[in-house]
Parts: sequence; structure tokens; C-alpha cells
Amino acid sequence: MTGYTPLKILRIISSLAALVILPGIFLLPKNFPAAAAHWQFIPAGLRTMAVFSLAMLGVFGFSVLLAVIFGRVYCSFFCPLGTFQDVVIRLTKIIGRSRKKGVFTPNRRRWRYSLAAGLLGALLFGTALPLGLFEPFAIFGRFTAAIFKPGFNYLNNLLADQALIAGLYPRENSPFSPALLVIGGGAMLAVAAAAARRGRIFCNTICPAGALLGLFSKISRLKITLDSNKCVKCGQCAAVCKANCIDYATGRVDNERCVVCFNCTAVCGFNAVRYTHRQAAPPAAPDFSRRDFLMIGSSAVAGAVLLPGLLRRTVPAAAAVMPPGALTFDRFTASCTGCQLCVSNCPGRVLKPAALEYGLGGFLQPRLDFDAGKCEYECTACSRICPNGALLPLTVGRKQRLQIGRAQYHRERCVVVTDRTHCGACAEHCPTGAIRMADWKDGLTIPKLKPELCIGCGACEYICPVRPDKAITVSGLQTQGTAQFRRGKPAVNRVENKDFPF
Amino acid sequence: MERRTFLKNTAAAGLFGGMALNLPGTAASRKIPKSAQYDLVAVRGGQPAEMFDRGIAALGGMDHFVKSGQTVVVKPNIGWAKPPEAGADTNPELVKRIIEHCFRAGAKTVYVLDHTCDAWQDCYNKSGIAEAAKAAGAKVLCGNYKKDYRPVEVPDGKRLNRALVHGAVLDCDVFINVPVLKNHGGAIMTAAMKNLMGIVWDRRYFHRHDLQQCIADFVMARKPDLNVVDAFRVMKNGGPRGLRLEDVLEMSYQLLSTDIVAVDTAASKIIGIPAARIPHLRMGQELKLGTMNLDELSIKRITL
Repeated sequence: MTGYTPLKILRIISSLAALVILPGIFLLPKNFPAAAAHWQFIPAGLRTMAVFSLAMLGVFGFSVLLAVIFGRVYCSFFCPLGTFQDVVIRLTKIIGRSRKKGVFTPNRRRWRYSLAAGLLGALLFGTALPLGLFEPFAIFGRFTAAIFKPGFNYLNNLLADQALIAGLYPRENSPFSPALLVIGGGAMLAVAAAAARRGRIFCNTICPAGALLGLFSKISRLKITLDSNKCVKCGQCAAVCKANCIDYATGRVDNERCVVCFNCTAVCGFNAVRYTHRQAAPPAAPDFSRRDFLMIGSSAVAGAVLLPGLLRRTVPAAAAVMPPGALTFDRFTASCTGCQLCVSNCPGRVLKPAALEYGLGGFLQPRLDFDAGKCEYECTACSRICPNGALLPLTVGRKQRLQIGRAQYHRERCVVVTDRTHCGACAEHCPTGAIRMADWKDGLTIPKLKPELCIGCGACEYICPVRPDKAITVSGLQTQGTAQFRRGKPAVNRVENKDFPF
Repeated sequence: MERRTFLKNTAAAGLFGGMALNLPGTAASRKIPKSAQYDLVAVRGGQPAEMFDRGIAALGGMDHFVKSGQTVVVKPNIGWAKPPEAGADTNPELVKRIIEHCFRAGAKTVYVLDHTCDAWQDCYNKSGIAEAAKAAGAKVLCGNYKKDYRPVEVPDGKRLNRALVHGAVLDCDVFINVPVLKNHGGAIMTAAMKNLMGIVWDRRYFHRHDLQQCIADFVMARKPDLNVVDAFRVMKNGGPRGLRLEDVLEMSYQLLSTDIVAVDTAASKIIGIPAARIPHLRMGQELKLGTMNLDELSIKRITL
């Protein structure tokens, strides 16, 4: 029988809050509070690396401190993927297909730390993609963007079209991306299937956050312990343990893998399982062997040496346009895990997950697709919401000068030249005056481009009516630059009050 | 979404094509009320709202255009996410006052909408128009959702024969066109005729197939019952989006007319662009949508 203790109730409340707030950041309009994403463990760590500041160090340090005192509370209280697995575990129980329970599984330590070390090695040498593929927040983000967002929008639009809720407007789905659907949806199915059969096995075999936090929870001040004087070896605790980390026969709890969900303390009728700082002298857990170290070390080296070389610069990165705030391709790809938070929050719907536009190493990282939209001149949403520091927060003023790409005018395709008709769509939408319509022949006006004023927002390419190849296109920059101001003649009078001119 | 909408719309168009199409007779037979006294009213020297009070009175009052229980669409230019001072969008005080007059004349519902260029919520909020329209009791509609658009035939169009037009405009009794006067890089000038592109879904088609002729052709799809050109702040350069406040002059004019070509011709004189340089005016006149010859009109000039 599962009981409830205050700690378990606290855990459930916190994880339910995470389950509402974190998807909300992906699904709801841009004003939804994004701070919850910024406090996620791996994103906070990446952000600390990308923007080293006392504040960021504080955020990440707080997560570490939490683990050192309380164990892996992140995994049960705050991690959206952890909560997702808990929901799956719960549903499995409700439909009566009980998972394999009560078995203490060995700690596959060599494997999980080798994987984590390889991912961190690659990260330290400039590519965040491998980490991103296994990191829980990014996994969660990808399937939320790929599966839940289209579903959510479909329901919203159904309600909006039927005018069932006043003031509800139809939403655009994020642009369809087969790569995102396969990777995001596949990971969701895999994690769910594993959770249904083996509980939190993802967290203790694959998850790099789980591996890192496990190192702290091993030595944490408070941890789950079995009091062998009180224990009657009924096995109830092990049966409810989602991490399969309680070996009740020997009285040992593997705190490295314990996600502190408090299922065990709530179920024990003999007060033998306790969350305490008093260590009732449990049998010492086996420590890392020399062979473990060798394996983990070589994996780190392999990750650092092989992966960045393999993943970066397989095609010229200049082809695709990075979101504003990426600054350089190197620092962008060193921090972006492809979590799709920016893509989900782009009001211009211009951001799309890249397939291979940046090369392999930029897989699923955001790029601007000017067939889908333009980078809105007043908007800084992606730069502010990025939890990893892959995009640095921009002020509107800075964004409006930040050159993320450069337009090229293909005169021979322009409708003014080919059809001898007026158009000016590009100049109309250009927010900086980089394209102006200059007088041409027969009373026509023709686009005139000043590249130094162009910020690469893609408004011109988006709106250009010429097909199949547009008459104005924007290509990306390896390093984002700064555009000049347009120098214009200011009008002399602000107020002009003449009589009627007719 | 785009794909889903497209599929649905295609299916809908296929199934209900005959029903949804606005047949030519409907649009043409719609009675456009003509003012008893003047073809064109020009006001100068005041704030937008008070200029409208005087202007509409000279045209016989809003009662002349809006009857009790009717549905009205007021179509300002809300294309850009810019504040009123930038002169890129129609003045919100003017929009508000027009709506108030509509309700005073007995309108049942007044809708305000535009198919914006920037993100629509930003445009509606920053321009101040959403707030002003709601304060006056109008319903603010999103113009950026394809499902709300229906096909309309333009049989006499020279380059444009079919367009997707916002359903609210097709269904309304009275259509009031409230552009802001600006220079325009592509169309040369934007006022009443060009403002109608804000009720069209696929504007790229216009740009691809002779913008000037399409602007003129489209007037036949739904001729406004009243045009009110806001020339309070006039963007003389850098239009239609605008780059610098210095390009915007506070000229304090307003023009009202049922003749869309005449009102734009008068507007061209205010902004200082020779009417001959603006082909869609001539094309509109050729299509008998109105006249460029202001001398043949009775014009009421009001100075506040």
C-alpha cells in the first residue's frame, strides 16, 4: 500500500507544477514565464559556461548545493522528463500492467559515466549536440515541440474555429520538420517504453544530468537509508522504488541512483526506511575501480577528440542563418542542445530546427527559414528565452542593429525588370532602409540595396513574390556583425500647415 | 498549420465554391450612397477626431451611410508595429471617432481589422488601434488567418480576376475604408485604393502580376461605401514602413469621399506626388471607379 508523507506530497506538488509550467513555456504565448527553464540543471550549467557571471554561477551552484544537501531532488521535483516518466509509471500501474518490481539492479556505473564523460568531453571541445541528444530538458523540449505543440494547437484551433471561447485566436503550428518528429517522437517513445518496464532506468543509464547529480547524492547530507535494526525485510520499499536501487536483503540503498521520490519512506510500515543524515552504517558501496576510471577517462578523451571533429564544419555554416544573439557559429553550436524552446516561442514562426543546413553538428539547432516568415524587427524572444546561453539576451536596440545575415539582390529575376511593373515589396518590408526603391525608367522604381545597412532579418526574401527563385535572398554569416545606421536627410519642418492644395 | 489550413480551404472551396463565390452582381448592385451635397469633403487644421466630426457632418452625417441594425467594417491601416507618432498606421483617435459615429447611427456591430505585415498582435497593440476600437465598442478581428478569407471573382479585372477577401468585409452592410496617407516605395503612394490590400490574403499575387493594375482591379471586388483618408501625420519618405520620425510631417488634413479615385487624387496633392506618377489612379479612372479630375467635383473645404 502506498501511503503519503509530507515529503512525498511536496514532491508530487512540485513535479506537477513542473509538468504544467515547463510545457507551458513551449505551448503558450510568449509572455509565459520562462524562468523555470533557466533553472533546469544542464541548461543552467551550459549557460554558466557560455556567460560566466556570478548570477549564473549562483544558479548552477544552487542546483549543486541542493544535490549535496538533499540528493537528486532535481530528478524527482523539477526535471520535466523525470516527471514525464513518473506519469508513465503511474499510468502503467493504473492500467494494471505492472513493471518489473522489487529487483535491485546493479549500478551500471562504468557505462553511464563513460557516456556522460564522452558527452562532456565533446561539450568542452566545442559541440553541445551530443549532450543535447541525451540531456533530459532537450529531450523533453523536442518531443513537446514535435508532438504536443501540434496537438495543442489543433485543439486550440478547433475551439477557436467553433468560437467556443471568446477571444481565442487560431495558432500556427510550428513548421513541420520530419527530423524533429523522428528524433523527438522516437525519444519520447523510447523513454516511455523504458519507464513502463523498468521505472527510472533512463535516469540511471543514459541521463548525463543523473550521472553528474549521482556523484553529489552519493555524498549528500540527507539520504535514504535502511535501518537494519527495524527492517523486517518485507520488500515493500524495493517494490515501490522507481530506480530499483534498494537492496533490502543486504540493507543497502544505492544513493547514487536514488531520485528521492519518497515512495519508499511513505510505504514502510516499520519506520525502517528513513530520509536522514544519520547513517546507520550501511555496507559500503563498491567504489570506482581502476578499470572504471580507465574506461571513463578514455571515453572523455574520445568524446573530446572525435566528436567535435566529426560533427563540426561538415558543410559551410554560412549557408544557414543563425538566430540573433548566436554571435558566432562556434559559440552557438558549443551551447545549443536543440531543445526547441526558441523555435516554439518564435512569433514570426521563422525559426525552424535545422536538418543538415549547418552540417551534422548543427542538427536540430534553430535556423531562420525565410519561406516561413521573417525575423520580426521589434522581437527579441528567442534570445531572451534560450536557457543554454547559446543565444545571448539582446535588447531591442541591439537586435535592430545586429547583422545576422546579408541580403543579395538578383536583379535579373526581379519582377520590375522582367515584367516592367511596379513592385517594391522588399523595400516595403525592409525595416532598416537597406533596400530603397530608386527611380528607374518609365516611372518605375527599382530596389537599391545598401548591404551595410542590412541586418539579414529576411523580410525582403519572405515577401518577394518571384518564384521559383526569389529575386532577393539572405544568406547567413559565420559571425554576426553590426549594421550601420541609415543616414537620411531629416525634414526641416515637423509641422506643416498650408492651405488646401486643390 | 499552413498545410492543414490549405487542405481544408481547398476542400471547402471545392465543395462550396458556388456558394462562397461572391458573384459579380452582388458587389455591383450594392448601393453606394452618394452624399446629397458634396463629392469630396476636405478638412484641415484640427485633431483627427474633430476633423472627422466636421467632415462627416458636411457629407450629411453618418446616418447617411449607416442605417439602424447594420453591420459595419472599419478598415484602418494597421500594417506595422509602430506607435501613432510614426504615422505608419491610421490614427487611433480617428478610428475611435468613426466607430462612435457608426454606433450613434444605429450600427449593430462594428468590426475593425487589417491583414498586417508585422506580427498582428504587435501591430494592433502598438498602433493603439485595438485599444481605441475596443473602447468605442467595436470588435477587433484578426486579419492574419487564412480560414477567414473567401474567394471573390473580379470579372472585369485586367490583371486580377480572383482574390481571397476577408469574410467580415464580404458579409458587412457598410464598408468604411480609413487609410493613412504615406509615400510608398512600390505603389508610389498609399491611401484609399492601396489600403484595400489589407483585406486580401495573397498580396504577393498583386506584386507578381502588375501591382498598380491589381490595386485598381481589386477596388471592383468590394468598393468601400466611404473613404476617410487620414492625412493628420503624413509620411513623406521611407514609406510605407517608415524609418525615421523626421520623415513624418504633421499636416493635419482629412479627406472624405465615396469616390475612391478622387479622394486619392486629392491625397496625392497633399503629399506632393504628381498624380500622373501614380499609375493606379489613372487605371482606376479607366475602370470608371472614380475621377482624377477634381475640377468636375463639388468639394467642401473646411478649415478648423
